[in-house]
Amino acid sequence: MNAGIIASRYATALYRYTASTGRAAEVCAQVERLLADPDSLKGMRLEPELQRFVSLLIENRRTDLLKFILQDFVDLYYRSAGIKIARLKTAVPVPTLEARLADLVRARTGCEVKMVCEVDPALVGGFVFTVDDLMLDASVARQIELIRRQFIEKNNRIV
Amino acid sequence: MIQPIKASEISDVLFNQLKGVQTPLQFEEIGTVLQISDGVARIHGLNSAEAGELLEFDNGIMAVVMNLEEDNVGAVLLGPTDQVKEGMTVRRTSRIASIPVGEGVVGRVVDPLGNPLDGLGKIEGELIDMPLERKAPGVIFRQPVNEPLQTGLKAIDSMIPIGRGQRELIIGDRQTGKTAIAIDTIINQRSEFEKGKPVYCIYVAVGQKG
Repeated sequence: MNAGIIASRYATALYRYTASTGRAAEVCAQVERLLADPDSLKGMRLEPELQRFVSLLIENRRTDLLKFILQDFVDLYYRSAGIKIARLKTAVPVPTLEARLADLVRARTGCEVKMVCEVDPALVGGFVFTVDDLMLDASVARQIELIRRQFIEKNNRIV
Repeated sequence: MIQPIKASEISDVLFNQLKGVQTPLQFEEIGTVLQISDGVARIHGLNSAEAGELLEFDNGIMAVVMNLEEDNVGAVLLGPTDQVKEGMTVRRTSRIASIPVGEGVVGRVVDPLGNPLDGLGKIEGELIDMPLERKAPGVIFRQPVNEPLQTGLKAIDSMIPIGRGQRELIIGDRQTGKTAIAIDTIINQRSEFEKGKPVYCIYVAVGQKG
């Protein structure tokens, strides 16, 4: 029930510690890799700040909240640095769209934008653009799914 | 097995349906599933989610927001929990969990969101949306209980007075027939229905975890 409060307190502590050592960016990069794919860091050394932090969690028996804390830390870092993470998923690579959307976000929010682009042929066409908590799903796959659901509702038959 | 052709499935009708299909494009608020356990999903994001709001997963499964925490939202799944995985995207629907009720619901089998499960088509008639989570009326607003309700089971009807609208507890170990008593009571109201004074019975099935 208090997972949110506890996680945010630990995340704030980790952020302030990494800010004081001046290595917040490196720690954040490693944390993002850890969150995306824990196996990618196998055999590699953790940043010393992270090592100390994990020891603290083990000592305080809060390791079950690690995922929540790391997610909060990443959000806190980017918020403090004034950077917005924007994710663009397209069916084929479209560099012009990436540049346009990045400029759009920069103009609307006034913050620096970090674009993360991904190509996913399963979208069939169109794109899925996510910034902060907002997502614009303009993919053909989603349109087909919406049409399919409306057909099912209108005809009372699973299509 | 392919179902037989329906009268409404003429090409013209389907063509008109296609023309009238709505596919609006708009920004949706999303979150990511961080943890799933015991039918409860912890979702990161969804900063503007409201308590009791309906959320929708990519595969159509719905969830109800129960817990609003500082950095995550706890939601109860309203569908098979094995189809929801960590990392899936969740959208807000901006609808508080509610069920449409009206005269047309009588005699139907519906799920908690009001979708019919008996294969008899849409629920007709005037329907009002009632929220799923709401305070029960207090004792002042309740009618007094003054008509008997027969269960049809001699042992119970002879020793225990039960009234219409009364709350009664049936307690016992598992597999001892508690649900059977409730179902038998519902079936026994048929004679009242035939007399023209029906007793409205609502059976709410709550499954066991697992």
